[in-house]
Amino acid sequence: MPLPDDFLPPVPRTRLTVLSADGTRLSVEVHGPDDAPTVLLGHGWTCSAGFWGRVLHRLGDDVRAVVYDQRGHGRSELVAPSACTATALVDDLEAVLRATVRAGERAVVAGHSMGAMALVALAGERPDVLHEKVCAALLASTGVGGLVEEVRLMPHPGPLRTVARAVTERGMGDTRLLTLLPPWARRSAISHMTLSPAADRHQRAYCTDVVLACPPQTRAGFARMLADLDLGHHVVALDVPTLVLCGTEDRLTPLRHSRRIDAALPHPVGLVELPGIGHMTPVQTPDAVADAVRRLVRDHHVSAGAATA
Amino acid sequence: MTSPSGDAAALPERVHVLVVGAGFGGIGAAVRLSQAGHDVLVLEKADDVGGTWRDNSYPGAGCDVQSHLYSFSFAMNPDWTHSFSLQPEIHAYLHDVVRRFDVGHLIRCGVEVLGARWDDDRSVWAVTTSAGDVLADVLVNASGPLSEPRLPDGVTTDTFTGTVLHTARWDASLDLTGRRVVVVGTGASAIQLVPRIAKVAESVTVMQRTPAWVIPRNQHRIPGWRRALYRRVPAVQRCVRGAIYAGRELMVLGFVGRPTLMRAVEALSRRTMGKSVTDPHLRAVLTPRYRAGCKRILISDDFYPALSRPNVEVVPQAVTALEGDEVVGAGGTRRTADVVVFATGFEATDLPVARHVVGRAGRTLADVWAGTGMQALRGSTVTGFPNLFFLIGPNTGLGHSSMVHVIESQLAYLLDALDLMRSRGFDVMEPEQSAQDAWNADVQQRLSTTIWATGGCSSWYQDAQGRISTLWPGTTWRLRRQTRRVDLAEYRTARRAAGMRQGRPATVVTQRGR
Ligand SMILES: Cc1cc2nc3c(=O)[nH]c(=O)nc-3n(C[C@H](O)[C@H](O)[C@H](O)COP(=O)(O)OP(=O)(O)OC[C@H]3O[C@@H](n4cnc5c(N)ncnc54)[C@H](O)[C@@H]3O)c2cc1C
Repeated sequence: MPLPDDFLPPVPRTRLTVLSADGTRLSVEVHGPDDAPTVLLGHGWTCSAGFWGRVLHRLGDDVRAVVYDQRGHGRSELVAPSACTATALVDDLEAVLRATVRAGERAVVAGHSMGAMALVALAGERPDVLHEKVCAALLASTGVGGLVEEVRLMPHPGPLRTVARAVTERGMGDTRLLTLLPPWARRSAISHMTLSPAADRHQRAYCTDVVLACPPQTRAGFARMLADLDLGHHVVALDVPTLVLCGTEDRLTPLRHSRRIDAALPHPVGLVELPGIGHMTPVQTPDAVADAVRRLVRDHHVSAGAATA
Repeated sequence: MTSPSGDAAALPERVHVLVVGAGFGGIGAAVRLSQAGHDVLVLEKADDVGGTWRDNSYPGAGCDVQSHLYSFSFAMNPDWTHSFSLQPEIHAYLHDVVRRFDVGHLIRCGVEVLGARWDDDRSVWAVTTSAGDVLADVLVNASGPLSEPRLPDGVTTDTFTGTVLHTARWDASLDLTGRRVVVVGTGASAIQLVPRIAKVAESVTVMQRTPAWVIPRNQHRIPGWRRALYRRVPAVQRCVRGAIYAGRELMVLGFVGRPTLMRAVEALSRRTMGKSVTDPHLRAVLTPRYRAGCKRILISDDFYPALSRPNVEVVPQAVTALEGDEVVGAGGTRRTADVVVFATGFEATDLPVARHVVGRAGRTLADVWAGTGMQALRGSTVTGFPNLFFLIGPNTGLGHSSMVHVIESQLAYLLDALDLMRSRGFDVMEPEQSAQDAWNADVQQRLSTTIWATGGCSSWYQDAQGRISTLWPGTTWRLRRQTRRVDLAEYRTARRAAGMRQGRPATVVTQRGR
């Protein structure tokens, strides 16, 4: 049962390797024409650059899309669990921005899940980079703290709360647990976590494959980081026009995260709630994600030369 | 002891049998014909024997039929070190055969056959070579179906600043360490090359037009005790060879008999890929969308793992140009490259020799074949071209087994023809058009239901018109039966005018009642 063609990411026009602050090699792809506005897309935990394929097909030649593999994911270098930190993700994002966004230009940056968290962290830790390189932001299906507490993988009635938390934490981070499950159970577990019941069989098959392709050590390393993450205080620093987008059936980062972020943003430009959609919005509703990106480009992109306002 | 001579000694004025090319075919001809007492001369344009196994010296080059089978039946080699030998060992084997059967003095290296014209008055082939002219009673083409490198059409390379080479013209001095390499193609050569160079190159980009079905090769070392056993008891090696042969022959069922059986190969290939390619995007790019077997099924233990390396990228696009320091793909993709390797195969359906062989009616073989595609009787002889024989002729290629088996079948046919000439006292034989047509109609009929015709792909098995003129649609056993004896009912034979007869070397003349 071959996947429909649009799940296959387009072939990048060029490809480069960018070194992060600690020397980690990051694989970066550039799509679309050289003179189009730059959009940078950051994927989430256990995904890879190719995860943006369906969105890239929709953006076509209208933008110059930069996608990269987060450290430990896809074709980027594997790192020790101790190097899976929020600051490392900020370093990586900065390195990629500096290597790909042309002088004077400010790019639209879209992050999904952990990719969006990296952008919020960058705003808090390196406001200068934000102001130099980023003109607008899309935060898709994300949260900024209390992630494990609010995951809705299973109903957790009062007394069972701690048990539920423990199971959730392990289930997401434990490298063996997933592999111990029989393939069908593994697949339905991943589909359950990442997609809503409305997802079709291609979306299910694809998302499970993507998640399972993530090296176990990376999955574990970032699971630990995510469990303790707290970026709530950085949201106010994200002072570029920011659009928030989330599916109403998101189990991993439920909608209330997005509502809270939207309320705290200094420069919110909208909250898009996608009815019936799960966590993997770029796969389940690529049209909505591409539209959001386009809207930010149209309204806020700063091209080289037009800057210095 | 003579080794193939590259000396400039003048060619004889006339030979009985002139063979073009000293690969498996030409060397086999030298051995078998000289054993049967025929006057034979082999001309080889390169300065060494070996053909395919001299030219294909790229890293990882090797055979994909087990060495026990991919060797002459009359010259088994107990010392193969691997189940699938690498190029240096096969090349050495061919040198060894030349030495063991002492045929070096029958092979002239460094002499290119430039053209051959049938002289109907004298009933001989007038052959022009880079070392002068020769007359030959019989001309044997063993110039190899996979000998002339093919480059993809319309790719401009003149402005490219890096190094460009073809797998079959490898440069041993080229060091790929730390270089950015683009490999064009994902066929039988690329799949052997990529795992080797991926280990040393800075990056390897593989340009893929159509993915291949790949199944495990199960390469292994042959332990010393087994080699010793084969040396002492050759019958054991013969049994192993027989078992490999039989196992491969079963694959014909799938290719020719029931193409749907190929689903099993596809499942095996998917499993093989699944083990080493976890990335679903790469898996999708690598999964073919035609029935396995339609294009050559490839075997490898290390291709998929190599493609999963972070320094290797598969670009599912054809190459359109090399410009400056970049390779441009069909979708406008650009990749910087220091070295571009064309692993794009050979001119399998457009043989260069065909353009230089002129038959009875003054037309070249290429002209005759232009309308019809390559056609011969029993893969060996062609109407209008008396006394011309092919080793690996039209429709004798295999998707499943050893081409050396085919060469030996065709050598048997050639030997029978030479014996008949001697015993029946005729000098000229040419297949009847009706016999050649009937044979080709039958072959094409049998091809029409094979995987190669129905599998939904285009491949180098087909010529520009889409006609399959390279492959044999059946078992090698069947081909052997069909070429065991010359059926003179299929031929027009004639004697040469008395003044033109040549004194034959004194040899035993086999008498045969037929
Ligand atoms: C990489 C590779 C791997 C292969 N692996 C296998 C395998 O595993 N199993 C298998 O069965 N087959 C395999 N083959 C097919 C292989 O080509 C045949 O098995 C066999 O080697 C063909 O032998 P040949 O003598 O007919 O042709 P070649 O080996 O091609 O020899 C032809 C010779 O003719 C010479 N020549 C050409 N034109 C002229 C001229 N005008 N004048 C003088 N000399 C000329 C050439 O220089 C060459 O030396 C492989 C081929 C390649 C390229």
